[in-house]
Order: sequence, then structure tokens, then C-alpha cells
Amino acid sequence: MSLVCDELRVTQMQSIKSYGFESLEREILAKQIRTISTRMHKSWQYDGEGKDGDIVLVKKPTQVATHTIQVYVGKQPIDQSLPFLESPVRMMQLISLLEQLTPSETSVIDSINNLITNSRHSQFVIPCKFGLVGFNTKDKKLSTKQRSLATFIKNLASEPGEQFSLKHAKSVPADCTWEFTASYRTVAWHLAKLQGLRKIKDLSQGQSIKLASWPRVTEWDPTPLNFKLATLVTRQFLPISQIARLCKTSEEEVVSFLHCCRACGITILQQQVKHPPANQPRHVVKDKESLGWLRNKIRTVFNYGH
Amino acid sequence: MAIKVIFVGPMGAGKTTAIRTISDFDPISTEAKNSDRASVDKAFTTVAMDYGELTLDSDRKLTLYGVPGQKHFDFIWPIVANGALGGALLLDCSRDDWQESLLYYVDSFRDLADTGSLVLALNRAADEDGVADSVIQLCEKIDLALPFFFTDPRNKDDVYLLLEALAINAELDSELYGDMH
Amino acid sequence: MKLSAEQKEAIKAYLTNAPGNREMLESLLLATSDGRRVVFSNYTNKQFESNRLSAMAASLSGLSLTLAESCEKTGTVGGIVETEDGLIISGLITAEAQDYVLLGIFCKGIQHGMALWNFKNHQLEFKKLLSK
Repeated sequence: MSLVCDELRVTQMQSIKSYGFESLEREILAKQIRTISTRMHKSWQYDGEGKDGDIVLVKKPTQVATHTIQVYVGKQPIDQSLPFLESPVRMMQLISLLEQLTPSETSVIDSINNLITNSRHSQFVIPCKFGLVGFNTKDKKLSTKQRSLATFIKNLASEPGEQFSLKHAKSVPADCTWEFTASYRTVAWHLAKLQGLRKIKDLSQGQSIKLASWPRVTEWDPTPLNFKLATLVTRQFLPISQIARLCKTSEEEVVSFLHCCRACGITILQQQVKHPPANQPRHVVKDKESLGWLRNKIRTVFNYGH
Repeated sequence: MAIKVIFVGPMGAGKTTAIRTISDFDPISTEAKNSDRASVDKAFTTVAMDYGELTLDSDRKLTLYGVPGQKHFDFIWPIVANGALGGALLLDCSRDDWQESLLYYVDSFRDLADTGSLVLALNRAADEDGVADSVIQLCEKIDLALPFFFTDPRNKDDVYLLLEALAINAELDSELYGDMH
Repeated sequence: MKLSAEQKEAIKAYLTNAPGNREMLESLLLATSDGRRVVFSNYTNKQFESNRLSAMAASLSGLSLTLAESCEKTGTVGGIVETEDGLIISGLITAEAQDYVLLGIFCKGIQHGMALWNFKNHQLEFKKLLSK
């Protein structure tokens, strides 16, 4: 069996679907999205009728898939906070809405990564809407006056990626003190996680995947599921469906995990495999109960209920 | 019923300490005076094995074996490793030669590494990000994605984390291959 | 752990001239207690890997000591491996700076008492040589 592995190019494709549209309306929508995507170099893609896109434009009340943003098309809904598009859909309104709904976390991740790895300055700050963000390129850490990682990430995600460039960098003010400091990979992980489910281009159902290196989930996002996913996905090539089954989670969670790993610079390998590789252990513990007792005894934060 | 876990790695990496940290009793050790103080400045070194136990319940225990770290004791490594659920490879990252040690010991315990049953315990790492980047590069070179953790072998939670990683891997083994054996 | 040139010469001379060696001994090996070869004398045509034997002798000696302690026995002399082709005896030689392990490989048919007596004599001689 050939074990040639290709690095998976993870592109953030925003899948846009419609629900309850006439065929002519769908054609117009497809053209509009194609034009916007090409002219603005965005990865927006119209995938026809359905309820499971990243964004679903609906003309009839419906329940959409988890992780999907629902946009009402037609009359302004009673709840003014819900995303809404007038019908017929006008191009400029559509652009504005799509930009609003697809925050630029990816470019924030890329821009921060670029600043941390390529800057010649060891310490500087970038002014943002929510305050200063401190960069320490030597320790590869980001600092903020925000009090928690969650708030910091939420605010970072709302910034345009272009903000994180050297032209906006300033010296650290003498009286500057920080409330919170985190490694930039932790920040990248959580930004990616906030993005939620994204399509990973070229990752077809027939492919098996594996991570090229261990993701430091114990530091970036220490949860039992992440620990288990990391253990499984670093040891052998497996299809996403099998990974999800073994880890007792959904395929969406697996893809989201992979997306976060990719954001932290972990290469995802893929392989067309009919059968899993035969790296079978010599010694399989048949007494699963003993393993249960072991985990019960050590009770780390990664104990995972079965 | 006993589950066996081994602690491997070069002399002075913290194997005996790790076992002492979690063992229910003071580990049984086979120590002799260290004749290579220039290489690692410690008075005694393990020459056959260390042995400790962690009681899980009245019928079950985890047996902890430490191998002698010096390379000339490699004859005993497979003897000690036989039947182990997995192993922790401890490395002292403050030493200049920790990367060569990583490659050498992973190669020596490749059977465990290939099945995800070898985890890396990185001790005394001053620059964790730098060490992590090096580990990733080394592992990619040998086509492995070994789990690695920054640990202090004197810290019980750190040693438990290594056991947790091995336990998760064994559970996955059991689910993937349990019926085939 | 470094032996002086004088000690080395004395050990070499002893191994060459020691009484009864060739009659009952196949080889005699001295290693540090942590398994590094110091000197190896082979009186047969057999191909022994002396570095490997040194490490094994140290492990055997270490295990013997720990086993004796666990059995509440003190004053461990050494360990004996019995085979159909003769005896292998290991014993610890303690010194101030460094401990050593002596390994004697005895010929087929040798009597236990004779082998142990011979080994003990060598152990005592080496202790003197190493303490000088």
C-alpha cells in the first residue's frame, strides 16, 4: 500500500445555501455570489437548496442545521436582531450581509501568525477597537487588558485582519500593564474554534486523515474530547466518520478540531485508504475494566466518561 | 490483575523520580555508583530496573518499571518492556544532547511508538515553545506524531497525565483491535 | 573511576599469572558497578562480547543485591548462574570512589565449592589491587 501523504490545503469555503427559493431566484443568487466571490477574492460559494450551509437564506420558516446561520429573506422579521435581506436580493446588500456574517477570523489568525513569526521587533502593541494588544515575538505571546481569554478572543475576532500588520504597530507604552497573556497558538486555536464549522476543501469522505504532529491540546484547549481526538488522530490514518464514532462525537466536531489544529500550524495529512494501516499493538488490554480503574485512580482533568 | 507501564530514557532524565512520585511504596531500585559523573552528575544510577506499584483496587494494580538509561544496558530494555501497556520516554531538555536521545530511544522502542503507546515527557525545558517546535520537527523526520508533554517528574499530576495519555491510547486500541486478538 | 597506570599493570599481571585460572576459568571480567568494562581476560577461543557482558554483570549484581535486601539478607557476596556447561558467578567489589563487579565464567564440570573458593580468592585479590 502506498503511503504517500499530501498536505491538506485547508481553505475556508463558506457554503451558502437557500431554502424555499424559486428556480429563477436560485440562478440569480448563484450568479450574484459567484460575482462577489470572484471580484472580492472571497471564498463564498453557492451550493443550491438545502439547510446545512454555513449560511442559509430562507424564504420559509424552517429549522436549519447546527452551526448554520439563518438569514430571513423577504419581510423584516419581528425580531430586529436577526439577519435579514430584502427580496429581491440586491447585490450590495448581499455583500454587506455576507461580510457581516463571516467575520475575518481567518485573516486575523494569519495576520497574527505572520506578525509573531516574521516581525523583527520583539515587543510592540497593535491598537484595536477594544484596546491595545501586546505582542511578544520572542515568547510568542499576546497580551491584553481584557480579563479573560473568552472576551479577548471575541473582541479579536471582530477586528479586521488587516489591523494586525506592522504598519499599525506601536511601541509599548511605558505605563502599560496587561491583565491577561496567552500563547499565540492558544489564541489561534480559540479564534478558529469560534469560527465553528468550516468546510475543509479537498477532504472527501473517502479520505483518511492524520495529524503530522501532536497538537498541544493540554495547553491550548484542555478538554477530554480534544485529548482523545488528538491521541487518535496522531496515531494512524482514519476516515472522519470512524474518528467521530471512536471518540463518540459528531463529524462536525472532528472537522472543527482539525480546523483548530490547522490554525495552530499542525499539518493535516490525508490518504486514500481502503483499510486502516496495520500498526496494531502487540499487546491489547482486554480487561477494559482495569483501564477504567486506572483512570478512576488518576482522575486527571482529561478523564473522559464512557 | 496488573497493567504494566515502563519509564525509559537517558540517565538522569527522571525515571526513578517519576516512579517514586506515584508509587504506593518506595520503589525497589537496583542502583550502583555512577562512574560517569562527567556526563551526568549524580551519585547513583539504575543498573537493572526500578519497580513501583500503584494500587487501583483490591484486585488491580499498575506496575511501574524503570529501565536503566545508559545505552550499554539496552539488552535489558526489551526484557523490561515485554507486555507493557505503553511507555513514557523522559528527556532532560536542559541537556545539549536531548534531541539525539529522543531519536535514539524512540528508535529503540519503535514498536511502542508506532502504536501510539510511547509518550514523551519533556523535563527541564526552559523554552517550551522552542522545544515543542524541535520535537515536532524531529517527529516529522521519523514519521511519527508522538504525544508530548512538559512535565516535572516530581509532580504527581504531571506523571498522571502521562498515564492518562497511555490509558486513552489503550482504550482506542481496545476499540480498534480488541476483537482481532 | 580512572585507574592509575600502576593499577592497570598490576591487574594485567595478575590476570596473566593468577594460579589455576586456565584450569577452571573460561574468563574473568571486571566492570564498574554501573556496567562499564574495566578489564576482560578470555582464556578460551570463545567469542564473548565483553562490553555487553559488563552491562549484564552489573545488572545481575544490582538485582542480586536488591533481591537479597528484599529477602532481608545482608552481606551479599554475589550471584550464581548454574548451567550444564559450567557456572557463572558475579560478585561486587566495593571501594571508596567506585564499586566494581567481577564476573567469573567457569568451565564445564567444575564443582560448586571449588568455583566459589576460586572466585572469592580473585575477588579478594582484586579488592587489594583496586584499593592501592
